[in-house]
Amino acid sequence: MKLRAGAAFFLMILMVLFGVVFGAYRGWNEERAMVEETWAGLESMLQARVESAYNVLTVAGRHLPQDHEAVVRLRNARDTLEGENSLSEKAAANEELTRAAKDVLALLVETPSVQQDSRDRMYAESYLPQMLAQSEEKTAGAQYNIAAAQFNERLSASLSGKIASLLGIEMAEEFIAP
Amino acid sequence: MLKTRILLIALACCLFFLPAAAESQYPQAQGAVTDLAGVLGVATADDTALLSQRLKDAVDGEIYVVTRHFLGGAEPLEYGQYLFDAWELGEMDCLLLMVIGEEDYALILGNEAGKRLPLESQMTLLANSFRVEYLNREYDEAVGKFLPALSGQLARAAGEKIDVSGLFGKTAAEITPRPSAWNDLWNGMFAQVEEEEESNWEEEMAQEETETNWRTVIIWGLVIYFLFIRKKKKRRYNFGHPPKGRR
Repeated sequence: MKLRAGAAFFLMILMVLFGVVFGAYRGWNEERAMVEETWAGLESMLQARVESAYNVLTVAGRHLPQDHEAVVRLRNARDTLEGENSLSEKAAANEELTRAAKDVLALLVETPSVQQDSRDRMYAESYLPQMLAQSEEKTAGAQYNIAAAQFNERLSASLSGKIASLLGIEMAEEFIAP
Repeated sequence: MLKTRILLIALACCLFFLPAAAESQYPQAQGAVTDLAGVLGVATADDTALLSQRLKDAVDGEIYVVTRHFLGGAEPLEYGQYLFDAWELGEMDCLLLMVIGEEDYALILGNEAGKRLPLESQMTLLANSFRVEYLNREYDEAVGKFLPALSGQLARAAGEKIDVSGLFGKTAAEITPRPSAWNDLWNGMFAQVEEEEESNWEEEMAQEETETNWRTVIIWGLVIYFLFIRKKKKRRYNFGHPPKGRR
């Protein structure tokens, strides 16, 4: 009788523990998935930025030397955004892309060969700056960062979050330059 | 079991919506000409639509022209092929993609059209009838020269005729069918003769017209002469017999 009561009690504790652990894992996994949903918008924004960089470099390739400092910076920023890099590296590259593209366009506008070419002048003065401005889409990055920051804060503050961390639920990387 | 079914349905829904999400990156077709870069004139767009209809009547294939400023790093041929598939174009359809800002272009043909007009022929056609005007930024001229040439070759390869008269500033020029496999040989041997025959025919027609006019004048002149001018005389046809009344 004692043994049966003890075994039942032990089994009950085990089941409670299992419920807590399994529930924590499943719950935080779902929370993490909600953060991932905002990632699609950020990814789309990054793709648009890469395409804008390609377009600016296409026009720059006709009028500026390819080893010009601004052109090299823009090309490197584009490659970082396009490659398999961490979010913080991409956030830094995104900011650098904005600066480098602005410098390249400013150079293009002043280049005599662009001034004599009505089409490329239109690209350098209005079409490409407009495209870059539209591709920036700051809200996409902001939304993702808000969701990621809230998730990370809750994960580290709660007991179930700590249990979930032990079971492999990782914190969400934020889209912020180091 | 129920969860599995729900998951499968959810997965099917995702697969259903994924192509739509991918398609939204690409423009919708706006008829025969989708001039997103705004470099083609209205007349060119209208003539392209008309030529496309004539090609459809001849070989059941249509023409599509797309212009864009840039492709954001995508290769024109790859992008054009994706567009061709996304728009579900047919076996004999043709898509000409012009990327203005990148000074590049691509021609994509349906499978059947591609068999009738091999890649080398396509490259030759683009080199001879499109590239120079395109790089000179004469976009209307480039399209106006290339599309009739392309249509003519496709029709010829299918043993059909296509009339490009009145389009892109061209006068009547009906292209007659020739076997595509012997095209070069045919050109070398018979093109000169055919041109001479055409001009001879025109000359003959003109000559015949002149002759007809003179003939008419002569005939009418004779009629009037015999009816009104020449005095009628009695003729004796007694064949050796004495005249009537005399014995």
